[in-house]
Amino acid sequence: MGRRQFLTTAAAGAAIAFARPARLLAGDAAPSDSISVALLGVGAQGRVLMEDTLKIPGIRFVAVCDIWDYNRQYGQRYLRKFGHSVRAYHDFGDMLEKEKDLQAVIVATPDFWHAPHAIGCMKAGKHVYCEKMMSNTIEGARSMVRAMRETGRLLQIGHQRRSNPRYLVALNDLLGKANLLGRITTANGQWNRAVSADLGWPARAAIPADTLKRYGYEDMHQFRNWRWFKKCGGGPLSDLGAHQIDILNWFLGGPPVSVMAAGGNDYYTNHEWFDNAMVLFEYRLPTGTARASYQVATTTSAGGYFEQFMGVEGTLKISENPKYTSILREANAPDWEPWVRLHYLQPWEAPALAPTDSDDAVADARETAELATYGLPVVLRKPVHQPHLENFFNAVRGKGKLNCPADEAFHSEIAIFKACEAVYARKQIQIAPEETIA
Amino acid sequence: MPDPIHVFRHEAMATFFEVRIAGGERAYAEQASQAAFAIVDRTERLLSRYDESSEISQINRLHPGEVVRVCPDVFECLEQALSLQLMTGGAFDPAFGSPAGADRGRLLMDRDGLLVGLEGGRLSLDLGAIGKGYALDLAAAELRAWDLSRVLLVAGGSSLLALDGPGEGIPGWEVSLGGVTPPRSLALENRALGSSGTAVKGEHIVNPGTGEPARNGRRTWAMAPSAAAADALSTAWMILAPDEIGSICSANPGIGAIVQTGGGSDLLTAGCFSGILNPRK
Repeated sequence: MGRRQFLTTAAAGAAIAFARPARLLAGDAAPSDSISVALLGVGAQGRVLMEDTLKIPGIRFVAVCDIWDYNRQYGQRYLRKFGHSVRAYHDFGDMLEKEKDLQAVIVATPDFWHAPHAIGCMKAGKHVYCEKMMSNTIEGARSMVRAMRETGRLLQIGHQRRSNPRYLVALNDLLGKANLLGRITTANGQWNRAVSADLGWPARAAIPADTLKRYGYEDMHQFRNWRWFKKCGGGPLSDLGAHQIDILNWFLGGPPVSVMAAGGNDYYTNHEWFDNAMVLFEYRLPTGTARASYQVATTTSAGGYFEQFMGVEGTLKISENPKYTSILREANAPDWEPWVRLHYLQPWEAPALAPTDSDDAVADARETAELATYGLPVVLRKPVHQPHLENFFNAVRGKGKLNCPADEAFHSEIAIFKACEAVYARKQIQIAPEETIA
Repeated sequence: MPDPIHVFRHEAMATFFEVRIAGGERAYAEQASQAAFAIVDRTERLLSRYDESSEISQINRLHPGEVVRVCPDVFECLEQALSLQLMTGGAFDPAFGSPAGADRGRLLMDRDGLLVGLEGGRLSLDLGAIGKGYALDLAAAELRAWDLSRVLLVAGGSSLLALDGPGEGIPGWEVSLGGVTPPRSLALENRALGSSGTAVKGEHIVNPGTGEPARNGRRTWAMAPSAAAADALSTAWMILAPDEIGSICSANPGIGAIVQTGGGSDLLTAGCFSGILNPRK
């Protein structure tokens, strides 16, 4: 076959596009069954939640709300591409007043607005998916739990790892049923993120000063960089650390009993919150005490983000990022091959130099053997927030329970508020059991 | 005195992205670049075949008859990839690692629903030869939203996208053609340039016709209105015969080719490149 002839054939048999007028997606719910949703806060995180929600069949966006025209227009335009024609609101009270048929609201506003927004929505009869942290104050977080109970509405907090199949398999099967780690004595976690400039805004898109004031911001810089200001957000232990401290609490069975921490404004000169912190938590497990260290850095990205649980028989390192996920067997632990055969683990490919244990009578002297490293047999086939949103919308439909209702998330809120307190107190702080319950 | 040029770099897609902005305040340029780099990172998350939850990975896992909903940016990137595949007669192939012949699946695309389905066999998309350029196109749109227009964007040194030139009376951003002797350059303005060769990554371009690496020792440059197209076409120019390149350039306004064969000073030019090459200053 001549080359030119081949190319023609290749094109003809290639990945040819053609449109079909009818929707291809099986299971796309009819409009009468769809859940009507509004997005409150169309910033960076709101956009992620919007994109992932659009992948779930049977969800219809009817409104977006943001005080910033720039975000509001982005949301409206983006949703139009998906065929969702939405009304855009500047003020959330106005939206709740006009959108009587709205069933659920996704709240992705700055932390200090979460309590008023989530509570306002629940009181108006809407179910709420609210980004973490719940609030920038303990009282704010408690008031959200109270409103959830009083209104009987659903309040899912956006700790999305709680619905991630990799985490669920690790907790329920590997640590639970198979008890591969044995007694857990230590844990650690980190989120290291590279140094970055403060967020800016297109000059022509600045919000008028009186509007900013009305919604609690000093100026446009504070509006865009609210995470660094104490009246608006909770700093990096809250923004980044919340995800992993929540996993420490979840996997270790409850909140810590004490915390000590160090941190400071060591790098950035114009932020209120510290830019780096190191935290030590103490947990009481039924098997005994376990200690956990946690590090957040906003000035270096080395090592990325993960949580690690260390037991006498093995260590689980887990992350939203599969490349940071593995499980290691201690040399003295029972054989894990039976668990491989049961598909709890992916097989370990032993390095060529590892000693064989085929003959127990013959010792083998060489360099220290590597710990056996196994993979987790789970592939997340979806964007990382989608399963948690699916869990929320299923609960709205009355199918199943929330994976992270506000009262459960409150355990992590309290651990983080206490860790921040410990950074400034420069001492160990006890966390009484009654403080951890909202 | 010419305006200062602010340069910012960011690591993504296993290489470096760079934004050059002429004039204006550096702090504003830096924040705009950061917003543009965030778009690049998002594009990588969507397009990477190495990320198990990316939209491209989701498409690559489809079995015949299955469908996945993608975001508008992925849909548009796929549409561009497919039209470039047709334009080049398959020399640019966004799924070159797929099975051959009847085992090769075909994409079904529904623009209204932003749905991508698979028909037939298997398909393995790899947007490595268009993704960097596509990310530059999206990043440039962000910089325009910040009212920045005297901009040059670069991905990995091989994909360049120029908006307006760096200053009044300067005919575009000067770009030299790497590895060409005597040195030659061109002025790039409101166009994109893609380049391919085998000097850095070795024989990494596979001829979809033969399944063999392109071994002709060429260097190629492609000009196009978008960085995605320039990126993909420079790969196609590595494989196509000079007369085929010439006829694609004459059939498609705004497209151009430079092909250096055999490492010498002989440069074949076609399409909109004709007459714009200068000796390097």
